[in-house]
Amino acid sequence: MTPLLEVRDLTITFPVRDGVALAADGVSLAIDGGETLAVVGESGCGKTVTALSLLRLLPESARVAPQSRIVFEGADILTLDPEALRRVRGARMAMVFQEPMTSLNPVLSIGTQLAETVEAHEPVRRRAALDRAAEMLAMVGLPDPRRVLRQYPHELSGGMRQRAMIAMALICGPRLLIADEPTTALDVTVQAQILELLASLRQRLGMSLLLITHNLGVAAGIADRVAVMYGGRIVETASCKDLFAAPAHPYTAGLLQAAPRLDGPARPTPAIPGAVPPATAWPAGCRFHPRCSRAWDRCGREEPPLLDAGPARASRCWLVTDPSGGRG
Amino acid sequence: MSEPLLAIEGLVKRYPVDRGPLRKPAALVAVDGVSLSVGRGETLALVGESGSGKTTVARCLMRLAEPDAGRVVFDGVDVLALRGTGLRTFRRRMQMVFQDPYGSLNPRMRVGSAVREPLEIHGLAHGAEADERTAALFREVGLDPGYRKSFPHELSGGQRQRVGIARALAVGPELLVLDEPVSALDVSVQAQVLALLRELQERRGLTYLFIAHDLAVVRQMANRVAVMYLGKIVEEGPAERLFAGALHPYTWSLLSAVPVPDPAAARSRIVLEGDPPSPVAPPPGCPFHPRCPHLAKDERCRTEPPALRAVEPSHVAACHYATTSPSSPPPTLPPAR
Repeated sequence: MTPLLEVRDLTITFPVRDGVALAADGVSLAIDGGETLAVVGESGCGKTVTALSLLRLLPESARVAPQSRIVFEGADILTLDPEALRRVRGARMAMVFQEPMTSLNPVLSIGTQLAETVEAHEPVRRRAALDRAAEMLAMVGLPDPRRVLRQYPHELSGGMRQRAMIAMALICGPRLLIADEPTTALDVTVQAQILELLASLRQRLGMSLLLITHNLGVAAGIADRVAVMYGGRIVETASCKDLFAAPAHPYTAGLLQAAPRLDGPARPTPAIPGAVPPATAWPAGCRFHPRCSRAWDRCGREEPPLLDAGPARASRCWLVTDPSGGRG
Repeated sequence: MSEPLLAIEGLVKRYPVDRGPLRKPAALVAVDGVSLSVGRGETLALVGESGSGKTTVARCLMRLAEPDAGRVVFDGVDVLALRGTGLRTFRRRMQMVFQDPYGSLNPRMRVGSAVREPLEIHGLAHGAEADERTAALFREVGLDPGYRKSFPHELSGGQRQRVGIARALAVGPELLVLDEPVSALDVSVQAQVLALLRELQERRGLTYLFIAHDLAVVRQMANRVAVMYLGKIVEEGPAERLFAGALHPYTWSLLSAVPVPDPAAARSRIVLEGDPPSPVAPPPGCPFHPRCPHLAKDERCRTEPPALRAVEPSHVAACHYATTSPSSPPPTLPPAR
């Protein structure tokens, strides 16, 4: 089966004052129809840059290396002409951002913004577009959708705004929804609502979902597969079940241990020592090795490729081929 | 119990809300009769969602906002009556660490000066002695003193928060108000800063008022937990009691909403409906009743505000139907491993 989206060797750099920031480096991933992939990582790992590049929303200063491919429904997004790109954006592939207040237009009513989205892609009259908008608002669980159509973003609460954003993203029936930290700005009780909503909409509409998050708990609750990023690299991919049952990469294991949780005993969680290095100066060898408790001399010399670590899983770590950790 | 280091009684803070030229201004009751006490060396966590009033409580304690009613007593001193020099001397005893050190540090001031400044303002050290004490503070929070020359933007989030903590410690406080001290940090760094806070508490015998929305973080840090909703305390008790058997349905929902990094954890999730109501027009009766999942919810909840009452020793809840064996199931957590 051909995946709905296939990213191959995506490499993105930014010129910065003190050199070149390597934000995403050889990122490859695929999403099947109806699948939910969570890309998990901490700030600076390259997850948001990867997500933005899928719709060519990167800032102008970004450079995408020539070998990069983003194949969506058979076409390479990176080579589409502006008109073809416009037909994909919002219609076949749509995006929801972390802070809905900055992605909604504050001076247009919710109804106008939703209707304009439909009109940009389909030959419909305003009346029909508004009917569709009201249906969509009802589907995302907003009470009294006709009233919401007339409201402005500032009149809605944070949770309601995020629902309106999701309605706008889904109104043209995209096959892939990219959600970049969709619940990070929300309170925990509202976060739970939005995650349930995304999961149920994905199933109802049969679309695929790419969820970008820093929160392993959020990924565990919704994803079929997980890709963990560190230092612009994918360091581990696995099914959600396998990854949480037994993380293969020491970074994934460290993140899981560092996450405070409510199940299990109440004890201090161990930190990962050090901090993420700047994207202008990734360490030689494995990018995680200076912070890794299992690193040995090879890790500092030679960067491991993504190694097969079992059925449908891979880990960018020499432990896969040398489980003794350099002592064997 | 011995005399608490900090006691808050009946704290009220209202903010006027302008509703346009033709309507009378309304009052937003951010804090509505909050009473709390923190024992010396203890960590009290104040938990709630945005708009619950937890940060306003902290601002009133620090005299960054003037409360409309209530008392704040710190080690026998009536804090709200302090003026001038008295207030300034008092500020040495209670310091605050903010969520986003990027917002609370002057971007044009080297972080060494930011930590040194309170020493000089309070007349605690000058010249070479201040330099030395600044370097010692950097070492104490796990930063190389070489970073004193850096500007805030040159540091990582975790390093900036360490600077924020060093600055608060400079004047030798007894109590730290920690307002979401780790919520802006990455998970791997969060654990480092939490470990530092625990270490400092032990070494210096500090008392913490730990304000947070993340219950999983609170569980690691707190001796006691107070839960706020719409300006009121709805539950307060010892941490281990609260996490094992929460009494208030709002606390159940908060606990249940925390994502667990385990796809196999089949939890009976309580997903609350709706958003927290506006504190300008709180619902009548129990302020939580429109969202409450409790099976016993009835007319009384819609009309009669529940008082905070002791359901078990030193564990209070503001719910008409709170019992030690709840009639609605609390969130079932996966068994401890």
